[in-house]
Amino acid sequence: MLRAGSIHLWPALACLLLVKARLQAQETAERVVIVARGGKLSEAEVSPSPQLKVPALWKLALEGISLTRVELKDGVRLPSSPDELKQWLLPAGIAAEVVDWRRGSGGEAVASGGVQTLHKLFGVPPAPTAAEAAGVAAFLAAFGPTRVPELATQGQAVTTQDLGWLARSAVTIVRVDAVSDGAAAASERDELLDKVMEKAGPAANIMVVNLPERGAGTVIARGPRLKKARVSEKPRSIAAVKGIVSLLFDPIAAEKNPAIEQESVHEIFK
Amino acid sequence: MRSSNKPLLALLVGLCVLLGAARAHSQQDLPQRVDAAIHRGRAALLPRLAAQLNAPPKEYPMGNIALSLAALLKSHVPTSNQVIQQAFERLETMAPAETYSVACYLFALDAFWQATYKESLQQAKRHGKSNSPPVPRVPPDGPVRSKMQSLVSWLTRGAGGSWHYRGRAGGDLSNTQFAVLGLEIGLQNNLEVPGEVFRAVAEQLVSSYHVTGEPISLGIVYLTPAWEGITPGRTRVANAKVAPGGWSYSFDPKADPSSTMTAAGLSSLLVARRALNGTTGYDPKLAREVDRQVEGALAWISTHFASYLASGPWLYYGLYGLEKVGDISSAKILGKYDWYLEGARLILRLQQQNGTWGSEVNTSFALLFLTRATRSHVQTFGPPVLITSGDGARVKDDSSDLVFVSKLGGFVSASTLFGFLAETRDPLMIPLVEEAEKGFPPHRVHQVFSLLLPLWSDENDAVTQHARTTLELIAGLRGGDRRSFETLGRSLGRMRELERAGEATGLEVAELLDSSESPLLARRALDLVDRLGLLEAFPAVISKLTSSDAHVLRRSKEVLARWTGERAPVAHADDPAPTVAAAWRAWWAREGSAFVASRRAARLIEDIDRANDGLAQDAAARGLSKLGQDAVPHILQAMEKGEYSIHLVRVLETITGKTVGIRSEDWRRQLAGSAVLK
Repeated sequence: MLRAGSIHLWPALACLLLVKARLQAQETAERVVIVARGGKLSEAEVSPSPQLKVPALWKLALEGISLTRVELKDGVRLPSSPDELKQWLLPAGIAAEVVDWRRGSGGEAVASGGVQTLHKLFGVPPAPTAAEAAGVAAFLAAFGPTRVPELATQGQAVTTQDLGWLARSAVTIVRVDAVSDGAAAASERDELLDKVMEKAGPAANIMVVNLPERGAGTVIARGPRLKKARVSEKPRSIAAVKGIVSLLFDPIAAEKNPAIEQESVHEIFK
Repeated sequence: MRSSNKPLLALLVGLCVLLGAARAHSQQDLPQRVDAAIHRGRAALLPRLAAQLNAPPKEYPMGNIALSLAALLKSHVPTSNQVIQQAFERLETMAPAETYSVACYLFALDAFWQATYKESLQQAKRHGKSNSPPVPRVPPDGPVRSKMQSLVSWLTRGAGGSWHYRGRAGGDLSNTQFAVLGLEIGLQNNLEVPGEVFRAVAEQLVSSYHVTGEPISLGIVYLTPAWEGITPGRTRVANAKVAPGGWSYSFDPKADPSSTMTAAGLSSLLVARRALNGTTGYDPKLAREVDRQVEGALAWISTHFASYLASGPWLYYGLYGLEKVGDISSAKILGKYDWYLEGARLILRLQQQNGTWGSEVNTSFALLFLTRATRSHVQTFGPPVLITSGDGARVKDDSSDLVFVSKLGGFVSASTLFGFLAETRDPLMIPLVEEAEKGFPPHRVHQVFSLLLPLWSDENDAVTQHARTTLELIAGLRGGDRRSFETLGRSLGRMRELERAGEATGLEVAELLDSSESPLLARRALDLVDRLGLLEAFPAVISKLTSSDAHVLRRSKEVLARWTGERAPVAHADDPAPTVAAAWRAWWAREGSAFVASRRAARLIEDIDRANDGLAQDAAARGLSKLGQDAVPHILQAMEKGEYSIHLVRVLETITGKTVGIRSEDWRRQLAGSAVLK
């Protein structure tokens, strides 16, 4: 029973409410899928065109924003480590699943990254006393259980055919290491993008980060808060790209971040 | 001998003086005697109508009741009278079946509404000025209007220009005259009446007209409508030499005309002519023939006037026909006869002790003659004036044609006011229309044109002179014929449409600019070119650099300088106007097409940037692609800003046939040295 006057119970309840609210927000928020591509990308995969054989990427460009100059100094390459990749692209504290896509029959994708639990993301409340636990149980019974999504475990093999791995986390990074710039390989990578766009749905934030072996990189992204059919040629660093990603998660907090240029915000976001 | 004749001569002179005085007295007190006769007549007819309601006549029950009802309302029996109310209730229960009856029902409804309107005006006068009369001149949407419309529709069912007892087709002139007068009521109340009906009526009458003799000299004195407090009307004499002619009951062109049917044919032809005048479907050949037959029938009536006063079963029917002819044509004297004076005297003499003229039908016709029932609304009341507080600020929207006239102390419909002047050609009305003209806001000046042009007739009278002078003044043109002002009026009307729409093509505005030398039109067109940046109109703008109007000249220079960035290419700005104009023409010949393409490309790129939806972006992108290689430098220039629409990439690929991607520097590198950038 919940005792009136049990003052030390209120912080625990407030914490639970916060967890519940944030979990629900997480469940209903737009999905974020980042396709990070490196290696031997063809020209068309970096700078698409309606007449080149990358229809999915062109469609993404038409529906969103294209950043044409991501500067890759000193031979910056796509990190092979999932943690490093997350560090590159995601703001601290964001849980994400990283899958490594490799070209092959069936288009297998293997989940190779670590998963941060929601507890780690939102913090864990101190363990309640027995009486508090009973009160919390009563509270949860009244409001329904807070479901924690079942997350993939490290190393679980997934395929592109059913794309089930996309549904396991609100934030997914697909690592694509291009080993060939031939037309067939480029076409296969574009097909992956097409399937991801279709599966994630029109409300999802989808961002393709192209880090080619030569020349500048590009970012092509669409999302509910992103501008449509625009091209921005302003030079940007990988850090700036990370700033843009953080805007997807928390626009207000990001606005206060001095590392994010307001000019970029206006060029990219609606 | 001489001395013995003097008393006789004195006696004869005295008798003549006495007779003349008696006749003059008789004419002077005629209005009072007519009023008394109407009063007695209506008092006698009202109970008879009540009896008709209790036991409707077996033949034409609707027509008999409606005719009595119309006569009583025209005789100023109040609309609130119980018998009147009951009569309408009874009519409502009857289905339309006969032409006479349907037409009489329309007379009755029209008489009811006009009486209601007049009663409301009198009430407003009694209670001082109010914001507006409580009852509009024509019935608004509601039971009266819908009933009138259904009756008009009943009359117009079928085909041809004549009616029989049960509708439109074949038939006789007697049914036809009632049907046509019913349709005129429809027109006066702004109901839908197909124009083809009146054309068919005119053709039917023209084809059945019978000329009876050699041309005779005919003099007609017209009395134009009066307007209480403004003008008593004015007389106008017209002399012509015309062959008399008329119509027979069965539309037989070989049959001798009769008095009743010539009046019926003439009144119907006058109604049809009024309806057809000014419409596009009025064939000039038919119009000339109608005019000739109108004069011929007036001549026939003036030479057979005695037959209208001869006793017989159709006396009152014939007199009512005469009243329609006289009042629709505004004729006061036909030949040597004052038709109303002669007819009224006879009717007064024939009124019976009980106040009637025999049957209800004859009594009704007699009352309709005496009350001059056919006089149009305008003739009876003058244009309606909406009384306001007088500040003239109440009505401002374009949809209204109300203008404030301080002489009237309120707003008046401009079209009705000018229409009244067109009909009366009474110079006393000119100060009123002058005030209305001055009160028109500048953007509605085209409406003044359409009001003034109908006043410009072949008669070189004061009204025509006023119309011509005012049009010249407004247009800023000296001389010019009626046709040139018609063109200008149309151009100004179109200009207003374009101004309101906020979009126009340069070619159309250029055409408008070239259509007239009027500085008024030029100023409006130049403003529109400037506002919308209509580059294709620049050749026409350049032609205005030689305008003698200082404002037009200044605006032309401004527009050219603003949109081209050039002040006076080649020539010096202070050079004579023809030299400056020649320099601009040479510049345009040299650079015009590239300049237009460049501005158009810039605008389409802007459209792509501004468009909120994909369809609009696609449309603008297609337009840009159509410009071809001229557009490429502008697209690359837009991309140089570093932030652009991806649709520009699509357009570049379409125009050049190259696949380069989304980066502008790749495009510049790819196209460097190619013809498109030269």
